[in-house]
Amino acid sequence: MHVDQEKGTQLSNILGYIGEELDIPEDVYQEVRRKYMDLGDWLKEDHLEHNQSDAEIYPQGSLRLGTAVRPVKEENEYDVDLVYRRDIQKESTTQEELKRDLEEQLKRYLRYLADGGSEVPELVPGRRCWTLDYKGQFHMDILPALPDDEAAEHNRRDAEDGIIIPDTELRCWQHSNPKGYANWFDNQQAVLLQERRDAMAKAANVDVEEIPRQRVPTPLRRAVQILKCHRDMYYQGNPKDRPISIIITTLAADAYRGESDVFEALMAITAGMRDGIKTHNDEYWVPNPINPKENFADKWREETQRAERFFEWLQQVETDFSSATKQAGLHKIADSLSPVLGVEIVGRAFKKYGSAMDKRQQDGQLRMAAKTGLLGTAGATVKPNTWYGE
Amino acid sequence: MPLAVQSAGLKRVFPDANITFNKHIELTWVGQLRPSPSSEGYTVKIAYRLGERPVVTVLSPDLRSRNGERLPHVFSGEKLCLYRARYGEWNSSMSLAGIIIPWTSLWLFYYEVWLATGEWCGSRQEHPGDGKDKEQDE
Repeated sequence: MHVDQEKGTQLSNILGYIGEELDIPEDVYQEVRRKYMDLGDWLKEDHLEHNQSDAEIYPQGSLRLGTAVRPVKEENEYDVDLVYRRDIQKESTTQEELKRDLEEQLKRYLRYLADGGSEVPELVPGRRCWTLDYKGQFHMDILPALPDDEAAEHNRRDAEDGIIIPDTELRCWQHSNPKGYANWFDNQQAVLLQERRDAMAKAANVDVEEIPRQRVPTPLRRAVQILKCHRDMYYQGNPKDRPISIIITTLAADAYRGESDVFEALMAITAGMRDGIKTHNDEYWVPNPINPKENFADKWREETQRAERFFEWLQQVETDFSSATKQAGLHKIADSLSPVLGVEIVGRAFKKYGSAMDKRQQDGQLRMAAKTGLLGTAGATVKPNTWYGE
Repeated sequence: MPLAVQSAGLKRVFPDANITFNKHIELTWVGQLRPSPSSEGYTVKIAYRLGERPVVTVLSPDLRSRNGERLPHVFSGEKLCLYRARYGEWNSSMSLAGIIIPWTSLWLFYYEVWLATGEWCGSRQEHPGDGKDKEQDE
């Protein structure tokens, strides 16, 4: 589908603002980071004291990838997924014991927080993890993990980061590698990620290391956020059939070919996602790029309607975004995107877009082209003025 | 600035637009403006009498209102209000092509964003009755 270059660029601009609105706000992100780093430091020391070995905490999932999407409802908290890797032998423990140990450790942590006069979150059990609930802000799911001594068998790359985690029934260990997956994801967009990260560092006058990779607004990251938002809206009445985020993220990153603007990326990804779903022996496969023996779409085998819904959803994504390009008028684009991504998000994004135009005028950077009246970087400078009348 | 000079300026910037004169005292310009690649194309008319405020109206499409709200920054008869005369932002020595028309395009852009959001994103805005006017603008 051919879209006029200028229209595509403009739509990318707008989608960029939508992506900004979907992001975890900077202040929340900093708070999350502060809290999990404090937790990590404390757990490391405590673990050394009690177990004489190393431990570390690191983010996984959408927090690490930068693909988190603001909850649909204002009052819903952000989900923060953390891995707590302890350097002990799996033979020296069981999954139940791992979970119990973590509970005790976290209780000690809460006492430490209380003694220091800090905010004390609520400790909530999960099936295989424990959750620290910072009420009204976010909750941290802490998943205990051990190093994987069979990592080479289960990881095509980054085997040193391979871990084993409890499964939901606390029976078999599951092989996982969130660090490896994140590296793979970043690799799929390596060039642009580096470029934009460097540019952000330069603009902020800081070292590149100060800019977290997951906060760099790249086309791939924005496309995944927008796809997840679209999914959230589309499956609102039918949440059980939603495609899980790892499937969307994996297919999107796999289909991404370095497109440099969000709209182009979105269109290419949506077209490519369909091809990314393989079939083996009559089953749908979305292989884990780190461990291709693992099928992210394994649930589609029993619940076949999930596969059908997924293909319908993909079709709808294409329809909705190409429809946006066919609208004449920014208000019509807003009208077409509002039911798809949410009226508040779209409204806020357009306000930012409008304000950016205003800033350019105030800064003397806005011009109007001859023949068309197009506002942009060519033509006569638009002088400052005061809007009056009713 | 004589009307002939205004006209030459308008012709240079918008060669396809239509300009007519009425007895050497009034110039009428009708042209097409599209403020952004995805915006609508608007047919705009500027009626300008030497020494008076240019009257800028949108011939097509019809300007819409939003949830019954009044169109922002217009005078009665849906004449676009592009500046405050009392601040000297425009006078008859200034160019229609170089100043009034860019403001018109920007008005149309903000109009579309206003339809989408309910907000006028032009930050420098004032309204009659907000305490900033003692005399009426003409």
